[in-house]
Amino acid sequence: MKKQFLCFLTICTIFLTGCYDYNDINTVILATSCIVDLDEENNYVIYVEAFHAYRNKENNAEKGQRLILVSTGKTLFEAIRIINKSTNFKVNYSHNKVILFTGKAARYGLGDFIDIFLRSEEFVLRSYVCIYEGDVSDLLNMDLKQEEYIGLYFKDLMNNEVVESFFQTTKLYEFYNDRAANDGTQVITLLNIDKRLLEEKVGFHKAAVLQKDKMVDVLEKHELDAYNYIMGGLHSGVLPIPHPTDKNKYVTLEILKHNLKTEIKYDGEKIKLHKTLKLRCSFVETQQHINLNNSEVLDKLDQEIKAHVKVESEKLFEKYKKKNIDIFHVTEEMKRHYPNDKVANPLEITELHMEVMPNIIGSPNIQSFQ
Amino acid sequence: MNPNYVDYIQKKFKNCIDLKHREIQSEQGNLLLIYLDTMCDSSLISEYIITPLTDPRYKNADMQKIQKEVLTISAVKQITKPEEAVAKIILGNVIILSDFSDIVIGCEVKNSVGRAPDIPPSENVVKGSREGFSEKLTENITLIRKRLLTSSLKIETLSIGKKSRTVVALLYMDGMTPPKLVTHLRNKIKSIEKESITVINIVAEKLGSKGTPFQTIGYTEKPAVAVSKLTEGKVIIMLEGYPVVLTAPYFFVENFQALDDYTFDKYTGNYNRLIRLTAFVIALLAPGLYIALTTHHFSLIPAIFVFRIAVTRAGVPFPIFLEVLLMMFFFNLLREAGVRLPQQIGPAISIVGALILGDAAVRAGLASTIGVLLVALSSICAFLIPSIFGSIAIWCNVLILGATLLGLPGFFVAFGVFCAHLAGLTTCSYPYLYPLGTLKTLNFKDLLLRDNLEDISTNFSEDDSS
Repeated sequence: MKKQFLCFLTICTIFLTGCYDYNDINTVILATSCIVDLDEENNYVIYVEAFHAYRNKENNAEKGQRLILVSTGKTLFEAIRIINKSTNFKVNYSHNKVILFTGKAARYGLGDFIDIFLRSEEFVLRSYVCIYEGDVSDLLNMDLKQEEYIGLYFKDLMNNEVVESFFQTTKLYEFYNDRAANDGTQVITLLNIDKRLLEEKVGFHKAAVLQKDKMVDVLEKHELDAYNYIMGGLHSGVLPIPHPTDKNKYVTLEILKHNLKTEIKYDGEKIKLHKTLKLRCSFVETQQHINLNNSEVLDKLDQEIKAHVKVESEKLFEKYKKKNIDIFHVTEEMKRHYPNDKVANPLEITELHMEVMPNIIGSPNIQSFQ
Repeated sequence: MNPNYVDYIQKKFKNCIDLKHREIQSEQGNLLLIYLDTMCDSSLISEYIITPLTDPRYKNADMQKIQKEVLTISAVKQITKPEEAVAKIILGNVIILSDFSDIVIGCEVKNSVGRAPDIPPSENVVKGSREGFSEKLTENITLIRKRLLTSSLKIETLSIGKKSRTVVALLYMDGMTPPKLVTHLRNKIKSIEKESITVINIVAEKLGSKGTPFQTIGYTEKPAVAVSKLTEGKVIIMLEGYPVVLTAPYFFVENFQALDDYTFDKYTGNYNRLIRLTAFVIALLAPGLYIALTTHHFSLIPAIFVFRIAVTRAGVPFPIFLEVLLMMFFFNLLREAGVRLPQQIGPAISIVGALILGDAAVRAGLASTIGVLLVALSSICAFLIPSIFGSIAIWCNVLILGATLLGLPGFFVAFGVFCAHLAGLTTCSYPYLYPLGTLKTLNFKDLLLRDNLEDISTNFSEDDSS
């Protein structure tokens, strides 16, 4: 009897619709990117770019097609559920590569609709999170020649060695961690469409500053470099420095490696934030002849690098100190190093002490030319 | 003439047209030769029995003299009972009776009808010995003897099958083979109560573990392999009339060992063995893993590959697990047909198979290209280890079932059951996974990989303290 019951149960499970999670790969619509926006009435709008496999009736061949699904709801989950009403198969988000929030949604505040991405089992925590500044239809209708799917294009773009080297991308789990840890202030990638070129290109050029889930400011390209000097977020980068002997010309150094040490000291009145940045730079370009065997020239280069990094860093630090936006995580550092000292606004009484130690190399074998 | 013998023999061999009688006149009286002409070599009878008996010099010889001086055949023995006479006739002996004496003589004149030793078709080697066993037990023993010129090689014979009286030979090395192993095998063989032994598997099934598709008794057609097993302290079991010998005990790791592993250098041998191990893993796990990933866990597959699989499957009306099972069924049909068909039309099946599996199934919408590729890969991999081909096929289906029902958790549960099953098996009271089960015996240096030939442990039981 037990055996018969077991056989019956197995047959039912296989051939009848059961509660088990069996889904053939071709009977789902695979989302590759989600864009979250707000309409005029502040309803949530979700745009889903998805892949759908089907059998073409013209030549009876299997094909894959790109679908753009749009839905509106009072909550984001409602909007996501409504999408399924207009699709022949269920939309599956396990291959969603990027979650984009529009600038409008980010300024309104992400707090209302980010819960679903953490709570839902289908959304994977390795998806990238970005802010998109611009019209959603422009982005979705853009003719990306390098990749048909925006989600896959962004994923490749963010994995691009060069992009990774000068900007730290944010994944969904990192976004949640930063949101919880750094007093609700974080800097994440900002995407926009570059219309100066012959054909429109989308890419990262800036970063969005979020405070308490709301986008409050934007870091421009040069500020992003300075931010990376202070926070140690860069893997490499470019340093254009005035020519040591000709003020009208420039030399370029490429940052190959860096090492940042942070020290915070609180004396009861002031907080001193010491940052020691070791930069290993390669001399890559000069607009005017330069004698790198001359120690004076090399000393001058060193000074220029130190001055450039120090000035840019301190300028950015002062700017955000005035705005009272703690993008440098001073509050978090204070909590960790001085857990018993309660300081109301640590950033306000913080002084940045930036020490830069450049090491210029000309080739893999010759270091510093000293 | 001793009427007891004649009547008894005639009664026993009633309606046997090959039973022959030959009377010879001598001065002492009449001699009667009884034999089966299908079992005896008539030229040997003429040359070494009839010619001396009819020689005028021995016309008055009595039976004692005939046995000791007249007969020039090598194997001559006195028969004491009519039952013994019948048994000897069956084995290819001529029975000599006389009307002037009660002595009965048996002379062995077996014919040598049969195949000469040939290259065994199922165990191909590149550099090793090509000699294979034949259907004749004595020749097979000779092939072993000439490779092991030592008196330590012991050969015991038993007779099994109440009617067939099949001769079984147990070969082992004295001083190397554990005596308890020989006793265990001897008792097991003696307990076989079949009327006749039609296939060697009757013995193998009696000695091996029950309730498993894994073979726990090995087999070989090559004397070189049999000799190496003997020198490892194992027992060889031979049956009259079978070109295959059994080796006991047979461990799981032996499925991955081939003669060429030892004839090539150790690096090439180990590389080939690693390929076999990898093939085993692929053949067993790939279909189940594919189903688990493509039906429950899409997120674990790279996006580009997911899209490709989805597109190739878009026109297939069946669920993935059914598609895989269908293709495996097709493949097994072809395999079975390939084995059963005569060799001359075997290649035709390959063409049909390539068309059905490779192209037509995809075009007809029965399967996707990825599904075909997967089943083909799994099947080719299973061919690398022919001794456990059937076991892989069965357990592969268990893994598929687990993966279909529960995804990766089901797959891992099924794999756990597989490992437990394997670990629970025994071969001649030794663990089937031996020596993997016991840490202190891990000095074999010939398990998953082999070391230098001179460092390899030659006796499987040398660390066996039990």
